[in-house]
Amino acid sequence: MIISDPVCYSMNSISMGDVIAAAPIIKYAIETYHKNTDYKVLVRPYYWDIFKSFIPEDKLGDQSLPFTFHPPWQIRYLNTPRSTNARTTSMHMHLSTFASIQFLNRLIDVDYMNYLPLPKVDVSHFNLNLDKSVLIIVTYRDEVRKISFDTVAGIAEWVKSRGLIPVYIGKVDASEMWKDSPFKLSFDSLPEGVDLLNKTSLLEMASIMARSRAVVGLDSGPIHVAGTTSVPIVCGFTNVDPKHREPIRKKGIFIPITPEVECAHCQSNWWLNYYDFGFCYFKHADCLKQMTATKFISALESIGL
Amino acid sequence: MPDTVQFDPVCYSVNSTAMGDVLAAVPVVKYAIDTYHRECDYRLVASKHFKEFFYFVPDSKFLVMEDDTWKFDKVYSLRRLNDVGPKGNLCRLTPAKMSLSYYASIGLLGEILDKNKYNYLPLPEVDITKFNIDFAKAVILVVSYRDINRSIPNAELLKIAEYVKERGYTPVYIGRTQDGAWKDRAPVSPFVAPSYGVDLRNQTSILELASMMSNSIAVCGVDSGPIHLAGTTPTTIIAGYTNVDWRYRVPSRRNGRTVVIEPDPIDCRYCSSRWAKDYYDFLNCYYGHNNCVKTLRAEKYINALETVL
Repeated sequence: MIISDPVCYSMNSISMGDVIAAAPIIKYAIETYHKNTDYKVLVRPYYWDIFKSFIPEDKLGDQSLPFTFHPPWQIRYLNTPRSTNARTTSMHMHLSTFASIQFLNRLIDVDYMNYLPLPKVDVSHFNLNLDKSVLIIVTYRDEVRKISFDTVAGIAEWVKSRGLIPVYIGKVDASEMWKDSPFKLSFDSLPEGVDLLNKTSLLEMASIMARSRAVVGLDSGPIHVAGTTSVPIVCGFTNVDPKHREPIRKKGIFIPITPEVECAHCQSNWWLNYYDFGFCYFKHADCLKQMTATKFISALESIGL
Repeated sequence: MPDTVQFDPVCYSVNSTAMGDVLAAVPVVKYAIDTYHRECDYRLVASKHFKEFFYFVPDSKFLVMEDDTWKFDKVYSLRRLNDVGPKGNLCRLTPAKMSLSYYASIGLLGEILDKNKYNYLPLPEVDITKFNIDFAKAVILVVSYRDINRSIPNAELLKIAEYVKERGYTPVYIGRTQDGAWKDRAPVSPFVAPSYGVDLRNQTSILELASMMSNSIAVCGVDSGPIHLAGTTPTTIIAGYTNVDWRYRVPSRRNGRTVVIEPDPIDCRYCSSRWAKDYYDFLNCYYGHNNCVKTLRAEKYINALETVL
C-alpha cells in the first residue's frame, strides 16, 4: 500500500511542450498515489483537453486564477517559483524528466513517460486529403526557432513535386495567455498549399497530424502535439539538444535536424543559468541559418515520402 | 564550445551534514569543475568535517559551511544541494525518492549525468599502522546509527560479531557519535562490545576509516554514512536497507561488490521511497513498530558473509 498526501499539481507553464510532456507524469501520479487520496491539477483551460480523458472536470482547475490550499494539502509546481538561487529547469534535461522531478520528486521509468494520445475529433470539415498531407509548422515564439520563408517554400515545393500537399499549421497569437511570448509568423504570405494557420483547435491539430504523412518544423509546441501520435516527425533543433526534447512515444519515426556549428544546442550544453536562450548569444543565429530546406527534404526522402 | 563564451561563476553549496549526501555529491562537483570551470571561477561550500572529500578543490576556493562569515560576490550563481526556499506546503526536492547521486546532480547542476560519472571518488590513503590491526583479517561492523529505523538490533550485531570471530576473523566495531558534522541529531551507539574484536568507535578520522575499510575484507552495516564511505573503496559491502529503497542508496562505484540485505517483504518497507508523504519525518517509523528493522536479522548478514569469508 502507498500512503500519500493530497496534492495540488500546478502546471505553471504556458508552453505546449511542457504541458504535453507533463501529462503522462500527472497520469502516473493519479494512478499511483491518488487511489485513496485527493488531488487537483491546475492548468490553463486552453490545455484541459489534454487531461480530460483521465481527470474528472471537478479536479481540473484554472492555473491562471488565484488558489489556496491548506495542509495537509501539498502543492507541487512544474516550474519552481523564482528565487535568487539557480533553480532546476528544463534547460539541461528532457521535458519529461523535468516534469517527473518537479511533480513527483522522482525519476519514473521512461515507459510511463510516453506522451498520451489525445482524443480523436472530427476533422472532415477541413476537406483535407490527409493521406497526401505533409504538415509544415510555420509559426514560432523564440527568435532562434524562427523558420525562414526559404525553408518553408523549399520544403513545400518538394512536397508538391512528390504529388503531396503542403499544409501549413501553427498560430499567430499575442492574446493574454501568450502576451509575454507571442506566436509569430516571420513572413507575410504563405507559399502555395493549404493554410490552416489559426484554424485548428488543439485536438483538431492532433487528429489531423495523426492521419497525415509527416509533420515538419522547428522545435515547438506543435511538434509535441505530433508526439502524441505516431506520425513521422522531422524536427529542427537550434539552441536545444534534441535528446532533451524528442517526444517520448512507443512508435513513430523521429528525425532531428541539427546544425553543425560549435555553439549548437547552446542552451543545453552551456553553463549560463540566467541567459535567455530565446535569443542568440552571439546574435548571428548561425544555427538557424542551417535549418535549410535541403536538410528537411533529405529527411523526408529517407522515410520514403 | 566557443572560446568567447564565459560561463557563470558558480558557488556550489553542499549544504548537508549527512556523509552519504556529501560523498554522493563529490563526483558531481568534480564533474562540474572539470566541465564548466576550466576557465571560469567557482566556490565550494561544505562542512569542515568533509573537507578532505574535496581534495581536488584548492583551499582558496573552499568555504567552510559552519563558518557563517563566508561571503562571495553576487556575480556567483548559487546552487545548493538541499534547496531552501518557500516554506509551508510547497513540496521541495528531496533525496528520499531518487539516488543521492541524481539528487546531487539535479541540485547542483540541474541535469542528469551519465551513470559512470557518479562513481564515488577514492579517498587519499593514510597511514593506519598505529591501530596494530591485521586488516586483511578484519570485518568492519558499523555499530552506530542515527535513526532507530536504520539500525541493527544489538542482539543481531553480537551474532554477526560472534560469527566473524568463529570464522577466525577480527570484528572491528566502528562508528562516530562525537565531533561530527551533524547539528541536531547525532548518531548513537548503545552497542556493548564483546570481549573479542576491536572497538574503534570515535577513534578514527574519516580518512583513517576509509583506509581501514579499503584494507579490510568486508564492511557490514545498515544504510548510513560509513556505508557510503565504504563506497569510496572496492571492499565488499554488506548493507541493510529499511525505510529507503536500496536502489536509491547503494553507492555507485566502478569496482566492488555490494550485497543488499532487504527487510522481509512487509507491505511498508522502503516507505520513504515509495510513499508520497512529503512532510512526514521518516526518521521514525510511521507505524511505530519498526518491523523492517526487526527483520534485518543476523542470519541474513551471516549468509552474505559466508559468500565473502
